[in-house]
Amino acid sequence: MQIGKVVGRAISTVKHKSFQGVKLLLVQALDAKGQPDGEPVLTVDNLGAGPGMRVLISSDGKGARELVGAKNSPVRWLTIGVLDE
Amino acid sequence: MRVGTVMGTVTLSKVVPELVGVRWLVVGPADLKAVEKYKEHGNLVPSGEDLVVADGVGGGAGQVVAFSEGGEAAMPYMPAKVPVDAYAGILIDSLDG
Amino acid sequence: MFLARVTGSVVATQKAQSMTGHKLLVVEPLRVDPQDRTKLTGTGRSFVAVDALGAGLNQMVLIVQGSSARLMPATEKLPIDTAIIGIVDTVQVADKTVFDASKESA
Repeated sequence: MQIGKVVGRAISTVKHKSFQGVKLLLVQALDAKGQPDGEPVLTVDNLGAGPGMRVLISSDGKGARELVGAKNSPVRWLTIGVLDE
Repeated sequence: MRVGTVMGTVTLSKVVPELVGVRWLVVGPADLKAVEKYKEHGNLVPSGEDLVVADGVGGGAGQVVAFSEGGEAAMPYMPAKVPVDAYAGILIDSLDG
Repeated sequence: MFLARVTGSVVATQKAQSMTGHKLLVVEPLRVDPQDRTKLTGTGRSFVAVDALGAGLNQMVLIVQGSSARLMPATEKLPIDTAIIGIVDTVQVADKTVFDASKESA
């Protein structure tokens, strides 16, 4: 799990059917100094997070597949918390 | 899933039987700086080393996709087992915020 | 997956029992040249890949890595993480053909 900043919400028409109706957020993981760590990742979110917020992200594919409700989804990352500011 | 720009396509003259019919895209991943510029100008210029992904969205050169890597990339083919380690599952129209 | 050029082969007489009979090729990953998007360039890295397709020296191949390399009958019982899954015919980048197997000198 890592702390990340939501840098955008992805709008998509053509996508794997498991993503229909699922909110997609692009999140930049942050290092110990709050600087970008690696490349941003697309996460699925059901917590109401949005651009600018700091969130907790996890790469638990199984948890992400449960969130979208499809066993055959290529999803990997999900938001599992919104940090208190 | 990282995001990146479709740079091109690959065709194969010979392929393992599990992957017959799969379309292949060359994708250049984007870092935060590239994403910020994309939000301003609508043009995502790849910043990282390109890779080849299985195409799940009918992507073409210049389009922006999100792609899964590792074991998750093979999930869409379940219950078939296919040797795929990267899969473009989302075509991104735009990025808000 | 990534594109790679077959640069050689390795022979190991002493090896994991399950590896008996499997051809191992040395490959160098390629990438689109960041300065000149009309060509592919070597990355200088080197991997050893199980070859289930009969790829030859200098051929351009498509490589799968990680646990996915075992997701086919030919490799599912092998302790491997890199396999050749295709032999490349063409690579197009931004509507230009940057690789064409039929135009390679043998």
